Amino acid sequence: MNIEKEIKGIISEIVGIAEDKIDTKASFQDDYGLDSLRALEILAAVENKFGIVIDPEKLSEMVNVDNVVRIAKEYINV
Amino acid sequence: MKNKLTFEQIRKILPQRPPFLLLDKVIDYEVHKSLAGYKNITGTEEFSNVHFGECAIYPGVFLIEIAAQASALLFLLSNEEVDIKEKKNKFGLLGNVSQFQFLNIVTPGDCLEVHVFMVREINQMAITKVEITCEERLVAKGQLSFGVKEYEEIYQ
Repeated sequence: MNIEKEIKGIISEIVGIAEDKIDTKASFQDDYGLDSLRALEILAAVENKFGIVIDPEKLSEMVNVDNVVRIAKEYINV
Repeated sequence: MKNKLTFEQIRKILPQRPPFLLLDKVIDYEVHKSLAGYKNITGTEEFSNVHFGECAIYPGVFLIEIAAQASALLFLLSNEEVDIKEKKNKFGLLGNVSQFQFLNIVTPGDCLEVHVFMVREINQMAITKVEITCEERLVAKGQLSFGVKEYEEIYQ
């Protein structure tokens, strides 16, 4: 399973930008205009995809793709 | 034992008012998990004169509103930090409607059953999945996300 690719796919759908156009270091808020509700949607979609439950306090760290991948990996047995 | 709410109890929690308070009754709820309620569609509601002319069909956008009100109600009931009196000042504001599908037509005389499932709630935000059925026939389903704001935050 390619976690990075799966997460990029999830975020691409929520952000509404093609997967290959997403910069993994770009800020969800500043570069893609996402608010905290959309960040919660990303968290919930990642949880659902991988069958994990992420600590709510991690939400504030989920500011770009790279961070989401890093946090998800903490919960996924790889 | 089931947790039920009458229309008058719902009115004390949700800020919407008739004719835009669309949920008639809650037949059961479990905080942080799920809620089920009824919405009865009647031919005396204004939509039946205007949507559409001689062929009354309940507007899909109202189905979304029913889903939103039921979701907001579950979220407010689940919020343990405030009591019922304080809940009057809290408003569930829709942030996103996704994957919403209208699968069957709703007409006067239908009794809709609304089922809300909490997907995730963090701080003052929540995501829910909703299914609306009529006589076990699925008429609409979708996912909503919303945030809760207090009156003072909206009208500063």
